[in-house]
Amino acid sequence: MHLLFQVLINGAVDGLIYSGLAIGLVVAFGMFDVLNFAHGELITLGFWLALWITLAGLPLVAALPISLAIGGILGFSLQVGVLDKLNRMVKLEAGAPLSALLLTVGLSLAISNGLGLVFGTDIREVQTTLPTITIAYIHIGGDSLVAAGVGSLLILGSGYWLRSSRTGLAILAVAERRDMARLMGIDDRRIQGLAMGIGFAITMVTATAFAPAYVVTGFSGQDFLLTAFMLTVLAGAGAYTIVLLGGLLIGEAQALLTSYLSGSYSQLILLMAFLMLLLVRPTGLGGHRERVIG
Amino acid sequence: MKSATTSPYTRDIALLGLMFAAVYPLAAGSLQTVVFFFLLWAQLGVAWSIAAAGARILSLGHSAFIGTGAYAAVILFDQLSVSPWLGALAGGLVAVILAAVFGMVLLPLRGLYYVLGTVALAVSLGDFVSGTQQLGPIALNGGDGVNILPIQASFWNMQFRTNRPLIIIAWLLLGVTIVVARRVGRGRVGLHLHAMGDNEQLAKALGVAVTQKKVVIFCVSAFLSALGGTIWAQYALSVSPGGVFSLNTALLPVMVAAMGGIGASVWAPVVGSAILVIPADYLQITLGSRLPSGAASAIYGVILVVVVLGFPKGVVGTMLEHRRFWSVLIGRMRRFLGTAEHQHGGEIAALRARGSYEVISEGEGDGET
Repeated sequence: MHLLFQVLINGAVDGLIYSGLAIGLVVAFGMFDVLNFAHGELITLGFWLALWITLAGLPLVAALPISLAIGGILGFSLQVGVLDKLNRMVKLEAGAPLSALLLTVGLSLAISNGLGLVFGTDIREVQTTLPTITIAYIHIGGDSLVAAGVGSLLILGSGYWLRSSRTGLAILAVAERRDMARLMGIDDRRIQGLAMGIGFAITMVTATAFAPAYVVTGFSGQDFLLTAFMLTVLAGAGAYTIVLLGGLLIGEAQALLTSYLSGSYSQLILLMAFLMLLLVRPTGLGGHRERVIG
Repeated sequence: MKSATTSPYTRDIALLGLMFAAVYPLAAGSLQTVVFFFLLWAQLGVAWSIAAAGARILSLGHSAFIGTGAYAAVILFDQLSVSPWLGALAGGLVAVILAAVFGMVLLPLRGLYYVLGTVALAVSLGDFVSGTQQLGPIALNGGDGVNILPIQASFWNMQFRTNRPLIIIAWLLLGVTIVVARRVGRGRVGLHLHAMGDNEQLAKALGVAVTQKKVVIFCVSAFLSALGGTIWAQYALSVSPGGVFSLNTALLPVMVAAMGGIGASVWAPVVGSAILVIPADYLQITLGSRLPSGAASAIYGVILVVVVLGFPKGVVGTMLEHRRFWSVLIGRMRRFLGTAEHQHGGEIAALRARGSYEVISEGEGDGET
């Protein structure tokens, strides 16, 4: 019984971390159909930032606002400075997502391998870890708890802001009907860039907070890419806050499967369950509306 | 396009012959590997394009089929001494079943969601194989993979004393794949697929069984990819999930095809493979010991970014559209950097270079060869 509680708590914490790490992709793909394959590298950069800041002798807390700012700038400039221009060059509805996809694949390969080339391929760890918290025989890693807390609070906060502020509503409007939003006088390019910036910032700050509980290599962020993809599909088109629910679902399923089954089968069962869910609910957990294509 | 009398198949076969004559004499020493992988990735790129060109199915999970083809032939050969020629067919069959099952679930999904589903399929399958030592009676050896038992060099065992026969087999498979792609692109099926790719709702309204056709074409593409996987395994004499089932394996056919230009021509992936695979593999092989690991992938990444920005419709696609492609490249770069006067800067620069303002290219000639 006590083991079950431990597994459930682990699953919940992991699930919230997954949501935080996935939110950048949920915004990029779920809202704006941008297939960002360099999402894993965003997480990797968050890890490396934590490593560099702590190696410089500063506490990890100092890395969080820096990470938030860098993530925001990266998201905004990738969208407004590169992807948007690319879309206007291609001018083809069907070609546009593929060009963005290939560009981000190229970025992903260059960044992940480039980090290995420049800094070596050794496995590094962030040394300043928080103590493990024990409540009634249940252990929770301090760093994981902070990462889960930071990620989910930021998602909840920005989710509330999306629905209550004018700018937030403009983001939702562009995500739902871009042409219509533009007719209403919304600057859709900058609004989309802003939204991407918010998503990237939350992903990167979650990664930085989570870094001490994980390993830092050029590729370690890619370990979370598949979960981020699954979560994005699970949440559905245009979904935002509901990603937390999807994260909890995946986290719990993974925790239960891996502790009661052999690891490799659990991955396969998770995939099957995911496909079953898509069969039953093709629009995901949160996607109600019909998406207008083309 | 050159003359109305020669059939495209005749031209394809002539081109294949020319390519072989140009490439085969180079296949000596360490260059053999470069030539083999150029042909292999060209074949896998053409196979991927069969699904992508007309029907616009963007699969990022073809490593599932490539890996299945590789593993099936190796395991059947090692454990039951079945010839890899038959093993290739068995692997192809398993890949078709996989493609049919997952295609039926994923392809009806709205928008681009199926793309993420195909990634999940490929990565999960790879994780499963690398985490499994023994699957019933079959030894998978987890992440270490399976080696082909070197028995006797013979045609039936698909094992040879030199690499040259395998290069010929890869070339023949490329030829078959190109002919199939040509056959699919022309004729009734191709028209249906193009109609679907252009406007799915309209095609549905006109009575095209959209999902059924997509699944069938997905299966054809999967079968040919599995065959490519088999000869890859025969060349490497081993298979491992880190090789055949990796995300890089899923992405490379996409990169090769897009580099040439998706839907531009059946031959576009071959050009893409020449641009992408030859330089990276050549550097890796000649400087391999001095270059740190990952350098080839980093080179892929940089080439990819440059080509996507310079030729958004692929090299062949852009060249077919504008004959003077260098001035187009410069125009596009200038437009990208924001220095061109207005939106059609690139095209106007090209027309100026050609010395004529008569033909105004709108840049919308999608998929016309």
